[in-house]
Amino acid sequence: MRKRRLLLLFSFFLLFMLVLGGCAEPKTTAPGPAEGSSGDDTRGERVLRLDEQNLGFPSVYTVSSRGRGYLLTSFLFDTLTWKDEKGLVPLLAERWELADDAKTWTFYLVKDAFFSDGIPVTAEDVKFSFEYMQEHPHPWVSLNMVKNVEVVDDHTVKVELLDTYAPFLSEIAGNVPVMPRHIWQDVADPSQFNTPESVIGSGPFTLEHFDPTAGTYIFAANANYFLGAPVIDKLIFSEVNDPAQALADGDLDAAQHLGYGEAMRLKSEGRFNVMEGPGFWVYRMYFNFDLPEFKEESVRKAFYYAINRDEIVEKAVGSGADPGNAGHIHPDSEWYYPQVKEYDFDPDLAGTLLDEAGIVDKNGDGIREFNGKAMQYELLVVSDRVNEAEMVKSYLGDLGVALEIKALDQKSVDSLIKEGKFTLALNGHGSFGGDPVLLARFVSDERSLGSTPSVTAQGGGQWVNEEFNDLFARQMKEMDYEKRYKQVARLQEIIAEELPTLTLYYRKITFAYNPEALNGWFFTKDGVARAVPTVQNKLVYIRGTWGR
Amino acid sequence: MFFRSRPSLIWLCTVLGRNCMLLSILVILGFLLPRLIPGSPLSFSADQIDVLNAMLPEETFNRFTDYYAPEQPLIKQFAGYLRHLARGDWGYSFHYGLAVREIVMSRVSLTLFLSLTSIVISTLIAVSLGTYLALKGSEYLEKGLLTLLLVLQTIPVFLLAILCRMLFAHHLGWFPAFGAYPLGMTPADAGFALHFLRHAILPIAVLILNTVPPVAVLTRNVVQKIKREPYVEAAYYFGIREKIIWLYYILLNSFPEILGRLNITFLYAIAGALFVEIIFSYPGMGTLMKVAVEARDYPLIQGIFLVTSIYSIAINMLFELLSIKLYPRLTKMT
Amino acid sequence: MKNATVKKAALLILLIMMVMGIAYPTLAPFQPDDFSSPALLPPGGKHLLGTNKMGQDIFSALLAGFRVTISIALIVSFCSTLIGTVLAISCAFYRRWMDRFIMSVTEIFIIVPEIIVIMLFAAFAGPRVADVVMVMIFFSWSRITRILRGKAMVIINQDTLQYTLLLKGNLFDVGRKMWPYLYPAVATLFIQQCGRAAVYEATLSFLGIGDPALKSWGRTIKAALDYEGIFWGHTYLWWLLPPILCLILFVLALALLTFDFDESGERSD
Repeated sequence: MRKRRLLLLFSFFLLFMLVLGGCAEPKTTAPGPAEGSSGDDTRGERVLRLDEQNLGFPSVYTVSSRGRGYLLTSFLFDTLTWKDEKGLVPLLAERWELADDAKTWTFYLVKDAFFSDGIPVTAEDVKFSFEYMQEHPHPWVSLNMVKNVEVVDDHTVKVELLDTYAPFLSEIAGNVPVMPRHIWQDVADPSQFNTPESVIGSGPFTLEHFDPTAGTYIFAANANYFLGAPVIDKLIFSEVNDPAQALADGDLDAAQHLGYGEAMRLKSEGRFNVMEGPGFWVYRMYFNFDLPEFKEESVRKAFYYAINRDEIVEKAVGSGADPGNAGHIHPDSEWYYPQVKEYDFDPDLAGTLLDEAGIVDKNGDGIREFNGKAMQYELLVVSDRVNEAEMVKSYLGDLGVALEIKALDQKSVDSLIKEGKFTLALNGHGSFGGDPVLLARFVSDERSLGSTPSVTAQGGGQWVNEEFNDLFARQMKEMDYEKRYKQVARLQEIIAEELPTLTLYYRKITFAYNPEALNGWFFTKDGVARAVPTVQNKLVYIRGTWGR
Repeated sequence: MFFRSRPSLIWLCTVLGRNCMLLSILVILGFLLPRLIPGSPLSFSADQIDVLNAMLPEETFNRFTDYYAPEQPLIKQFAGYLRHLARGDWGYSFHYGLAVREIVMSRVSLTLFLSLTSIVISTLIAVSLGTYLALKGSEYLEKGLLTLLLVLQTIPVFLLAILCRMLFAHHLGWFPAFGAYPLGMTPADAGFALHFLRHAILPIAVLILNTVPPVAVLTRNVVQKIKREPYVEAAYYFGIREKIIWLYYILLNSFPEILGRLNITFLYAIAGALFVEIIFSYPGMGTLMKVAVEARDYPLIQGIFLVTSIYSIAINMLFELLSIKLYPRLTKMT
Repeated sequence: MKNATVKKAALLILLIMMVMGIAYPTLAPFQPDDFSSPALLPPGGKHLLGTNKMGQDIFSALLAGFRVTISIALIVSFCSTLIGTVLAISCAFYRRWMDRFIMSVTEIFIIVPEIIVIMLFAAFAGPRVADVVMVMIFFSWSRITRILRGKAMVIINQDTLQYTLLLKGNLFDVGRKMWPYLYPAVATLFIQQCGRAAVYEATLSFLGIGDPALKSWGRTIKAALDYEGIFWGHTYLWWLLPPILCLILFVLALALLTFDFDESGERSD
């Protein structure tokens, strides 16, 4: 009797659970809260709400050193140049010229730009900003190629370089934020500078509120912006756990941190506009070159042959990426060179390569030995990308290389790689499109000009190739696209030949927005600023339109 | 006065003293354990220090070493730890780059709001349900409800929260799915209170579902036991009105024991609140704890441990005092 | 009698689960981390519960969970019950300061919710199963000590025990003599402890604490919830629900084994 009743109850419970999930089909008519997000005929307050990580206080030196942090400051501070979907555009500098020596740039500033405290932007501020950033190194831009900055008149400034530097306009002029001299000249320790004065810039927005623990940013439109007032009144960023759902529920007007599958689902539902673009974000395998076995080219090649990149893209990323190519550069980049050596998945060839190099399993435990030492390594990975690590572990296991997965948070992984405290690591980063200066991360020569954002650097022993170093330095001075392309193509050939890193995939980016709110989103050519893969270009908020 | 008689006063002192001692043990534990656990960065092997050095911005790392002084002998570290605590300095969060105390304090009120509201409501529901089951419930109903309560009790609270969120927030769309108020809204805005309440309903409901079963079962058992006491049977025999018997003979006499168990429920409610907050992204201590754990933000973890300890001790003391006040005769026992 | 029927059913469920855990290598059609199958297959054919987004067989992962989760539960429960029992007997044997000391430590762990302490300190430990299990053991003996101490204090007054004490028996002798009296309570507590350990493990896994490659039910639940499309189609039916049901069934069976419908019920979290 009792047993039957119990069973009955239990089956009711099961049914309850099934119903719970069963009715969880996507709901399309959930009304959002009533805050004025939809466009009325009378212009109500236009608020745009987006999801974003907590990136710290958005002043120049206090914000996160990842690319998205820099973009937050770009809402507050302008640069001399900027980029839109077609490429370079003027910003604070309305025009510029390069002297015949190919080293001296003259910028002519716009005359109607003001900092948000009402003081006009002058050449003095530009000079000051360059010099301040030389004095106080910034993780995002390195100014080691700038020799001297000179004020010609109130609105003309001359920048003299040590040597010709091809990507100067986009990488340097487009990234040094122009900070008001009257405020920053007394700031000795900018990493501590987070007062209201520290966010006074000439950008299209001002910081109205920042909640450091909730990670909520409220930006207010700068009505006096020299390119015209933004089309929105308020821009709100906040940390959101499930952006796709929040968008559907009307809690967000646009969502940027979407999974690829989620974005495709939103697209198929048709209620929101979904954009898909090339992700200048690369996922790759790092070798620690302090270990003798990783200095062996054949080992790195065998690894690359043994890893099925297509399957990783399909299963670990849900097809939300393009498989990596041996030359490292993204196939959509104008610098991409397709005829490099290819490594299609071939586990047999991988095994043969190691056998030929004499790296075999002598004691029959299934693990190969290198110089008598079993090939067992720790694979460092960020804890939300364990799937990739598991797959790599399995591929290399088949090859006779044993891996143990060590999962940590992003920040720890970044810094362990930077310090060279790892043996093998999987990690991903942006700052990957655009100018070939990104290949600086494979240059072992300290004297070279230019750099990549420090968050992508690798510590410990370095891969050394003199031809690569020389060629890299030469192409950085080459102003002619055709000639430079040939040199960059050769660089890619060297990378593909020697594999200093194993490029696994390039993540695609997606963005979904409610067309009732802001329209006019675009993907910036080569990524915003230094190739940040996002639609968060401040020009959208100036040029966009509101509502349908 | 609240405590008039001398024995009560002595008892008050004992309670205070004992709780102070408990708190100090917790403080010591908060100091020692992170240093003893293998693999913890506070165990301060040279290797771990290097990792931290690499992992943190210099500024944060310096504050960290200032605060924990890893190179000093343990006893000096402990003295430093106490000195910092006495000054209200709980260290410096890696992740946020802010003082731990500031962060924790900005979050604690929402967690207290969730857990206290749910406790009050669920106590009312559970006690009446339990009493009803014991006094009025038919055998059939009783067993059925008991089984349901038991099942409810075995579902881990985070799963319960996930299921409720799926059903009521996403599918039915009755309640907001996350946050304590709409994005970017401030308390100064019109209609804030209404939005705030709407956001709180679902988390509180889940907490109630989680807290009701143990208290209800307990109440039922206690009431059932007292129902069989001779003086209650005698009252029935004398034909005293049933309502009077229930209220004065049974319920009032059940309270001391229920109160003793409510103590534990109150203590566990904060754990439940933390998990429910995580699911609903409610900006209280729970979400903070998740961030701290994910980013391995050790000073923040310690700060959260400290606040939880203080909360627990406070609740514990409150209940001990309450039971003295309500049932002075208990003080003579144990 | 009715109680007995429920208990028999619970016992049967537990036995089946344990057998599945033991026989899992022969039962499982695939290795749980073998991702060679197509991704997101619905149930049917070779895959009883379909595959997950990595192309791994979900049924095999579920079976692995029987072994992993149940063994973690058993290890944690066994060790913490052992510690708890030894400490409880020590209280009765040494009394005085030892008793007081152990009791105040116990009180601490009762006042601050176990799961919070476990979680916070597991975050301090390294991301390995062994570390997390150690933390779970270390922080979950207090309840056992508290309950057993009361019983031990009574039992020690029994003649046989007094006799042992008279003969200057040490802690071990007393423990051995006490065991027959203590045994039923220890068994009950052990079973309850298993349920708690399983829930703790799931909670920690859900929060991403511990070894990410572990094949426990908690990890399967987390993996399913991390998959963004889990609730669109019916994927949740064969990916999310089975591990949840297994977990609840396991905990429920354990609870039923010790729950007395006619008398008092114990809290299980």
